[in-house]
Amino acid sequence: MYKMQSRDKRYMGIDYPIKTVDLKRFYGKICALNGVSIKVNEGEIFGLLGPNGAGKTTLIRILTTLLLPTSGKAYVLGYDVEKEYREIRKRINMVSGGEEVGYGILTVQETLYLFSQFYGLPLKETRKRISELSDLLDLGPHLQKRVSRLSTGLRQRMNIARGFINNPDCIFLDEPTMGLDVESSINVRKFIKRWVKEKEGKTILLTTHNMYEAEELCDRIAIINKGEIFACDTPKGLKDLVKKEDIYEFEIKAKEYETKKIDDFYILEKKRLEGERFYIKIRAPKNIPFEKLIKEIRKDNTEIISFKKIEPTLEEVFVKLVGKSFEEVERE
Amino acid sequence: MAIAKFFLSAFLLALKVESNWTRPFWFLFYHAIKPFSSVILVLFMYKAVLGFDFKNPFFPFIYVGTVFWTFVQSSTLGISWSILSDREFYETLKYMIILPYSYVLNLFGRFFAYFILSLFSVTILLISGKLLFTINFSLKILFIIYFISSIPLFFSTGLLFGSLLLLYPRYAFFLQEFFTSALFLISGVVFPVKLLPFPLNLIASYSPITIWLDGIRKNLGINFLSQNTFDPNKLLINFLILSFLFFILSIKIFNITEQLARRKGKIEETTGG
Amino acid sequence: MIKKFKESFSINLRTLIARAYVRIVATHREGSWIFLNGLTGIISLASYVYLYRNLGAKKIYEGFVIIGSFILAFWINVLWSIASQLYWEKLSGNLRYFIIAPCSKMAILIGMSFGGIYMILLRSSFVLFLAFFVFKTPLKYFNPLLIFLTFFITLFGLYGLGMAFSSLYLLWGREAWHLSSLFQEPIYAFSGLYYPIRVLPIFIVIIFSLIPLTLGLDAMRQCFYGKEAEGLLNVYLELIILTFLSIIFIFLSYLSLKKMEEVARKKGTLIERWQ
Repeated sequence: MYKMQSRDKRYMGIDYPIKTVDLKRFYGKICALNGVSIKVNEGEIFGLLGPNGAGKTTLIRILTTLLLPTSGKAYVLGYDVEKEYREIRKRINMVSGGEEVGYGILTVQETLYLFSQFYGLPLKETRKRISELSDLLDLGPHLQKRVSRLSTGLRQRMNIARGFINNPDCIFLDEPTMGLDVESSINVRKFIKRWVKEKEGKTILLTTHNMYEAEELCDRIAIINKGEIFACDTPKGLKDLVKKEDIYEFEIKAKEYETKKIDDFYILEKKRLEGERFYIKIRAPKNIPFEKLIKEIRKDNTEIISFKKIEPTLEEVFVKLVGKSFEEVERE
Repeated sequence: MAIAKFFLSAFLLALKVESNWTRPFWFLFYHAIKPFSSVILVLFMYKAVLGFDFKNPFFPFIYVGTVFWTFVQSSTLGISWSILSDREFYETLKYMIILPYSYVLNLFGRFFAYFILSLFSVTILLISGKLLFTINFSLKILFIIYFISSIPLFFSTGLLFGSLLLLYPRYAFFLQEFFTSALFLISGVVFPVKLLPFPLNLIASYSPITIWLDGIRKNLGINFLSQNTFDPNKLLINFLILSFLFFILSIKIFNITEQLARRKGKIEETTGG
Repeated sequence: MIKKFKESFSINLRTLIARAYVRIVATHREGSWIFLNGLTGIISLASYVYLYRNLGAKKIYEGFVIIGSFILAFWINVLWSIASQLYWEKLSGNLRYFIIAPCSKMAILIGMSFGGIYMILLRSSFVLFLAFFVFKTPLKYFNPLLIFLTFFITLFGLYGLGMAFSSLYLLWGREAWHLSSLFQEPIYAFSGLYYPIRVLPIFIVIIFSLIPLTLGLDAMRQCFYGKEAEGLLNVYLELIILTFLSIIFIFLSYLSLKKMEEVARKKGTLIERWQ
């Protein structure tokens, strides 16, 4: 089994477990990556969010040593992906969602054993890791089942266990919940979060086109489209890019409610609900005192039943940055 | 019309799947050359014992047997190969099954592509037999009837193999090997079936492929036959009726196994490496 | 340096053992398959035994068919399981995980070869003994040590060739089944599978001797039947040539694997499904 590098080395002067500098990749004349520069910190779950064909998988393939860049530099754990790929391979792993891995005739346990041996794990250690991972991923009752008899969700959980079997310093997850049902997706996300939190010095790079997943899992997100990074920040930081005003939703009790401009606020939508109730959507300047808003609403002795502050979504961030929605980009 | 279009698309699909790996010229060259290898193997076995004595009546017997065996083999295996590739490699079997037209019709279109490709090889091999080994072929009118009857006969045989593959995907390669070997043994391809021990010789004498091969041989002017119990030309009508019944039966069996495969959830099952 | 070598040796040995082990496990999981497969072996060789009987050939010619079938099973395994294996792995989505693992890909292929040899040996030994018994074929000469030596050197060569093919198949970018069937039958015909290789014109013999099947079969026939096998060269000379060929093939497989990985990383295809 390979011993991991000492953390003191700080990735041989590169300072980040994952770093790319002006990375470009062309497939013939098609540009898949166009000058991507990212820096991922240790202990971070870093997300790449973008529609299909944005260049996420190409970037992962370069970082996992499956593909060479056309130009630019990429370092994983301080090693150059072009020249020092053997060193990288000892320390990383990868999981791709929506694909079948392993051999139908083998059991889950045998499959995990096989892949663990590619990393030289001693048998005792292998047994320990299989047991640990199967506990975390709830694979225990299925270890003796043949892979061909597993459901899609179980297969993907096995695939995830395979990816973590060598306890990598850096793991690349390419759409890890693709094709999974809601419950399995939740479990997988829980596992990923727990793993990076509990183990010291681990780094995860995750690609997804699921906004919710990106927001829930990632410490920082890079928005990528057509091979270019448009922005890179925490989910909150990204949202702040589009958040110049706040949006509020109210449910109020009143016999009548007039649509009017109330000082700094603007009523975007008004709907009569059952009984003497109304739904109103209000736009307010950013960081305005909330009391002021309440006061304005209750001016006519209106009773507030419920209210909600609406946060902008990452989709809105994407639209703002790229000028199109995911669907529009994919349709192109 | 729609059925004809469906048949044609299945036919073209099989041609594409078979030929996409190279250019049309090399593809045809490959199909012209490939069947020679099975003939050459038998030819050198013959030469090892009898030398270059191609006048021996046994030589045209094994030559024609081997040539037409490639016809039987590639056409019948074309069907099982189609099922296998639909399920394992392209993972399209489920989509084929739910089409508005029967999967059997789809398979028939694809079988026909393999049949035409084999026909090309067989023609080249027969011309080579005439030119290189001076085998005297004298084509008789009944040859055409025997030849046409090969279509339902091979299709039925292939469909029966296919039925088993639908139900036992994991054993696909083994089943193909088993059935082609068994059929090769009992069809009197390279030796007269009377040499087989009882009861195999009896089964072999009544096997439709044995009768068909002998019919082909006899109507190509070759008198050395695999089984000498009866004259294939005298039994032609019986043979045609039996072939037709076999054709209907094989479609019935295939439809039943397709139902069974659906019930057992085998349509989407892949062996996964 | 020594530490690195030890580390690398350990990881590759573990990889080799694991890859062979899972293949053996899978073989045993299909227990009935071995018996039925053996039966298929007998059926397919029987036709050629009857062909020789009908031609009035010497009884030992039937032995040639049995020995030929015995070795043939390994050749089929080499083509369809070793040479095509990386292609199957690519289709099943495993290949990329093989590539990003730190172990040598040679260790994976060697492991697969050991597993394959075990599986075929079970089946073929059954066929070999049963066929000699069923067809009452005589054994004229028997030198167990030489037979084992010849057999293993032949396998060394065959599996070495299969390993070299495995990455070449990916480099050629064709579907594995086309390539395997392209190699399968012409080699049946010209390698002296069921007949003494001397029957063939000498230039064909020279060309096909590059495939270990030809000399391996000839040497095996001589081990069983001595001079009556009408061998091509002295057995020991054939073994030296086979050993030499095997080393070349193993080296070639190392180079082609390296090349395959290099091209795969450059082009970005090769190891991805549907590409």
